[in-house]
Amino acid sequence: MKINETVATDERSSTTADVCIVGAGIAGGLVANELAGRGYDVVILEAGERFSRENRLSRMEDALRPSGPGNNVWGMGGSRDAYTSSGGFDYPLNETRVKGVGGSTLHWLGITPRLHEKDFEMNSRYGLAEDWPIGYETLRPYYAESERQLGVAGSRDNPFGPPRETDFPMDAFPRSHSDTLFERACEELDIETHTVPQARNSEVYDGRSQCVGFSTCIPVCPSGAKYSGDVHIRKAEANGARVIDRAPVQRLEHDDAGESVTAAIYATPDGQRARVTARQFVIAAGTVETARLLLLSASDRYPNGLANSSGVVGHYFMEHPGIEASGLVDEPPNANPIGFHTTETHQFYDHETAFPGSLKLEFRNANPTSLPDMALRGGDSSLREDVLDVATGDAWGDELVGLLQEAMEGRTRLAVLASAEQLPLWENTVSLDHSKTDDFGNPVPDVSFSVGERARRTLEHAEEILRDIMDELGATDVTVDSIHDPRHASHHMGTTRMGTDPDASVVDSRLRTHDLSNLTTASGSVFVTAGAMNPTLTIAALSLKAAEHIAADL
Amino acid sequence: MELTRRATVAMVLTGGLGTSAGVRLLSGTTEDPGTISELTDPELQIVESVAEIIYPSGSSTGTALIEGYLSYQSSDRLRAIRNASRALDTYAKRRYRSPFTTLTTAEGETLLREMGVDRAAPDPDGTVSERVRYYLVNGLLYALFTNPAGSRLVGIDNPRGYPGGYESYTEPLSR
Repeated sequence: MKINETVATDERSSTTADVCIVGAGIAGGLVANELAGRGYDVVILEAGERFSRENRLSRMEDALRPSGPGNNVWGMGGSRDAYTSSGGFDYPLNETRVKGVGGSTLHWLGITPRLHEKDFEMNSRYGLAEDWPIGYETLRPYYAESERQLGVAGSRDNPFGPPRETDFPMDAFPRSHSDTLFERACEELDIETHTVPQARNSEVYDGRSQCVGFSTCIPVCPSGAKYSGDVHIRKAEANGARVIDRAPVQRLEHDDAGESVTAAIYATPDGQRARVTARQFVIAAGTVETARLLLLSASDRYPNGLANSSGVVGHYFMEHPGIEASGLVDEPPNANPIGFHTTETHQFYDHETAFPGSLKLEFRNANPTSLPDMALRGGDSSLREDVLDVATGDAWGDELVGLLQEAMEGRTRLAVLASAEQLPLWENTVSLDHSKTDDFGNPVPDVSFSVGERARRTLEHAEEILRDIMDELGATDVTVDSIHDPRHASHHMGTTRMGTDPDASVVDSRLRTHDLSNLTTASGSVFVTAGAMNPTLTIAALSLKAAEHIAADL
Repeated sequence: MELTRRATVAMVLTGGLGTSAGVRLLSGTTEDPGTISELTDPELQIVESVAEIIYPSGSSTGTALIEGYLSYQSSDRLRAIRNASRALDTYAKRRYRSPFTTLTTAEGETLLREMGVDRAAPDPDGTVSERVRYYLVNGLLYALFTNPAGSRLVGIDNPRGYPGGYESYTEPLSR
């Protein structure tokens, strides 16, 4: 790879700092805020842009309009974000991430469970995969602090959850009307349901609005009630941190001995290169780009990629495959629309034996009909009707209302999603695809991914449970996703796994690379196993822990 | 206190929340430096005339609803809305030798259908019909059906896109 080494002389000129962080998402923001708050000079390099908070209503409109970009309202795509997917599953990478200040939490749902004890001990309990080098008890105080910093609404009504020491910072969201229908069916099946912890304000918290019910959490929360990583970026900036956006890091450089990183080289919008030197470096660029940056930073000392003496960088990529069952019920189940769910069960999570793997069930606040979508399509509820518009024309006015009423009467559908645990598989990788380059001439990431036999069998087990629930509901027209084509949760994990053995892992229990003494990776990339829980609260907890270690080194 | 246009708009956007404690939207409701005043009164009247045609008879089509929608549009979007409005007016003058705003509702609807607006795919960069569909018709339908003024016609109190509070989801639909 040839790089123009000319250093820009504008405000993006080369600089030095105590800490250089790559990535302005939730992990980068938390680490930056912790360190800047302790008086250290922090520079954050972000590949994407800084989005104005004030145009979120426009982004919502774009998302809700049928002719708009759908959920891609944060500008993902194009040569900057080019990728390939070569595995058994065509992984839609750019639908699952956002580049920009705030990162992928700009479009996340905001569900924040903790991992369970067993998730850290998969090998010692079941002989599967590897144990984490830390256990739940180590992470427990950081979980509590993460819940406080993000602002998590929840209740202690979950009998299956891991031990916790305090109440949640905010009361849980009340259960929806749809939930009450599920509860009745689940009681008959001896399935216990409970509320859902989520980083969404059920009241004013940390200067941010309570949820006001726009119902568009994915992909954008106009009120700011849903936590996103830009919250802590702003806090970090208030503490003196500097953010340079539109600054994709091209590679990291190290000293002659290969013992420490010396500089991050980033591209400026005008195509120049600039350099940040620092005492400590943190890659917090998400599971895919973190691994990619290490691989792009190969050198004579590290021919297989920076911090990759183990050869493990990029391996063990994990996701959460899931299947959804839905069906029609007699009584009107749909409450007013809501962008998130308020009931889950973790009853099928902890297991005594190695199989089946963990499952998490989410009871969807089914919202199959988007009123603005159908209204803007002239009341059409099918693609066929859309196509016929060319000849017949769309309805508006009173005719439109009639069509909407008719269409919505038949849409009383309930849905349950089961997310499954996926084991780390060596062959599931993020690697460099040298046959394709991004707008800077760098090889793009290739995601090679398949679900794996154990996860598929766990989904089989899930299907039985979901069908039982639908039967108990008396649902008709039941559909269940195929276990051979599951949906994925946009939860990226693995690729720089944590461990004690430098030959079998990339970072240690403090998230520092085994190879380089001043390089930390803070993201889902460090997960050893995935559990079946949404990973973000764990990413936050690990980031806060890593920040403490970095501060101690500084 | 005299309310500014924008303050009125903010009230519309947060309508139904006036008594709810603790509601604080992100500061400002506009992006870039766009302001509704970029539309002249005649241009605004064209937009309102389109609304009279495409809005159902039972909906409240007050100016505040439309201005609420226009208030958060970017400068670029407002310019495009203005251009689509002018193009529509030009078509009316050519076809009926009258400004669009002087046509009866029936004449206006006939004109929109003659132009093929009902059959056109909404396209922000397309032909006049496609842009009228995108910026005027669909923009106005979006404004109406992301607001209780429109959604209540089909029994939804708090539609997607409207900040009607999260408590609404705990009740079954009223319809």
